Amino acid sequence: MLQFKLVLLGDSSVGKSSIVHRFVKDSFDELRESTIGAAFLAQTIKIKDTETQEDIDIKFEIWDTAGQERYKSLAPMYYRNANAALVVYDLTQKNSLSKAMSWVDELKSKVGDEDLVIYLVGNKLDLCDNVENRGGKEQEEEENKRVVTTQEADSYAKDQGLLFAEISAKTGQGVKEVFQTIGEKLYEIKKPELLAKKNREYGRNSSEAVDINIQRPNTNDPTSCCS
Amino acid sequence: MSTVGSANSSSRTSIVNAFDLIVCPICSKEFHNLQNLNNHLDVDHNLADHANTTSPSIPTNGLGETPKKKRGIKRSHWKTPRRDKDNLCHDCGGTLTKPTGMVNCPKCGELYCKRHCKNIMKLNLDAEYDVNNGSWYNCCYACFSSRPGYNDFGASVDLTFKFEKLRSSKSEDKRLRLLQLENRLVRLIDGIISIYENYKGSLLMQFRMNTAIFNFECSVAPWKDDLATTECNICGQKFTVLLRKHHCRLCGNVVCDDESTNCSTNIPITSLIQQAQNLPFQKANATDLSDADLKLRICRQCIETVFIGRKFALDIQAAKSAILQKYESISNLSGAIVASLPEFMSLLRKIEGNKEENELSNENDLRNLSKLREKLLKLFATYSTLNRQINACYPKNNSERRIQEAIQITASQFINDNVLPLKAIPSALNPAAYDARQDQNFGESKKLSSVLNKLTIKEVKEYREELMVLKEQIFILEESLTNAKIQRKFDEVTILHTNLKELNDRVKEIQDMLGDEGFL
Repeated sequence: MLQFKLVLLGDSSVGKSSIVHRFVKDSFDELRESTIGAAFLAQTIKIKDTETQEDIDIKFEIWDTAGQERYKSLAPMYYRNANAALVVYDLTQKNSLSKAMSWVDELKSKVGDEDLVIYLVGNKLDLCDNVENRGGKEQEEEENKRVVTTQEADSYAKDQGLLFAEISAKTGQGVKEVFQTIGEKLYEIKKPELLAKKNREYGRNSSEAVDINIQRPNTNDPTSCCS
Repeated sequence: MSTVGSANSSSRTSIVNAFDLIVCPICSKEFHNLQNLNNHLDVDHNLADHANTTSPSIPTNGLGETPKKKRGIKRSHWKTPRRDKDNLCHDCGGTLTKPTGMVNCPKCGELYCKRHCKNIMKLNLDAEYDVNNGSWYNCCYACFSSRPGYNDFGASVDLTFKFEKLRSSKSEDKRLRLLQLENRLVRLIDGIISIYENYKGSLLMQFRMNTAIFNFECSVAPWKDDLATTECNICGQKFTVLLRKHHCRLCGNVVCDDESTNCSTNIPITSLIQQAQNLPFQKANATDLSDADLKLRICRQCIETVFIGRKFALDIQAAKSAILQKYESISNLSGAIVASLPEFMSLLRKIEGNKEENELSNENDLRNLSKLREKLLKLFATYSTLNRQINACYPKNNSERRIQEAIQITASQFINDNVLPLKAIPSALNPAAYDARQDQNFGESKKLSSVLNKLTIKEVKEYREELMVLKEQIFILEESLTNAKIQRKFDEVTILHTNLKELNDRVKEIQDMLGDEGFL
């Protein structure tokens, strides 16, 4: 089992918590309260090793930070030592993208780790007109139209060397894929390290497995009290 | 060595032999090694410090070796090697053979191998340790280390007494000279005043008074013959029609009165009296001298001898300038810091040592450590405040400005040197926050600057806000921690726990930063 720390960053009400809940609990709440501080959730996914085709469990330690300005000082505590960062913006809010860009800048300047995977995610894809499979109901809601074009964000992401996707937490479109990609990417990065570790501990069957044999007195010992 | 040789001699051969020739700087004689040259300098040029410093074993080119040196060191106590049995080294116990060598320690006389008889010290002819009159000998370690004044770093010889003796004879001379000059000054002033009193009130008597004073002055100090003198005794300028000869009334020396060299000055008697109030003038205070034009010519040297000590005493008594007063308190403060730092360091080391052995540190130690640290931080804060106050002072003159600059440099150096250990502490207080060290260092340096520059109101606000957010977050995390425990999600518990610790660290950090400004 591999464990990675993942942090969500982005402007307030872009849907960070919704994405996490879609991923962890596969549910969506229309009336979600804004997050206080940072919420912690964990989820395990399976990925396939591209060479050996064996399943690998990856556990995400997800820190869902609050987007409100008031909690900005908390963010460094969580993106420090993070393996991956999901920088989220709202496809229907122009300045949420610029906010996301400033988060990317901060991450790049403050986190020394070259291996940090930054994933730029545009949320609320369900509100955008280029989605073919949406119901006729939303078509009438003209005020929530897409303002950030795919091309704009994509070129920025390519520029900065980020992963990029447009998703919808409401419909769940693309959410799983995002985490899957992150898992694969992180596995790819950590694989040489893991192999080296495996080689060092040659002879053991599973080097990643946590040793669950807790030291406790041998119950067969007649002098022990636990008989 | 080679450059000296080739530079001093022009001949071809000496350049060829430059590597093994040393040339005497006085007579250009060539020598094969330094010892020979030293010997040559001591003997031929009489440059020896002591007559006995040169070792008798050194050949002196057959020159000037005193018969005293030819007498060897006392050997009667030396052990003779036994022929019937193996001789053992007194130090290492090894058998003494040809390759190891066999020597007597000249002091104790025991037999040693060469390796264990290599410690050089000075012995006199009776084979006793003697710094002043001895010569160098190879001795055993036992004798070497048992000589008086020996410690691990070498031998120390107390020369204070010698120095004091040397110095006291000089200062005695100086004191006598001062006494003589002071007596003359008192006699001169009293005499002149009484002459002035005799002739006072009559303009016609002015000339006669001056003559009387002149005659009197000549009688007090032995005036030097001015006909024999052609140049000023202080600055050495030749006397001319314009540069007149003058006699110092105190020492009688012939000096000029060139204003650029200040060799002598005509000083009003009243100011002389004022500057030397502790001298026993008889008439100075009884007589009104305000309208008397009485002056004494005194040379620069006498002014220095008589008045510089008094001026110095006055300066010491005078109130210190603001900068110096502040400096006094800042140096007291640095003393206090330096005094409590070792305790802090030892405590820190103890706790870190405990941590390395995975032992739980004593609760008490930790508390003491943080208390000490707080105290130190406060001291540093006061220190930097004082330092700022010193910088804010306006220097009265150039030297004060230089003093100010020096204090500033020292103070910043001091802070740099001593605040550093304080950085090490958060990891000691919170063993779990090891991985967060980098960020902590960042925070620490911030803290450093906060100690040095007091927080602005805006910063205080920001830190308070952050503190509030952190407390909120801690509350939330604690809740989810209990939840995770109830749900038996132990891996989550560890993660939450680590994070909680980080948050608490940060809270502590900010509280430290805020200090008295904190409110929670």
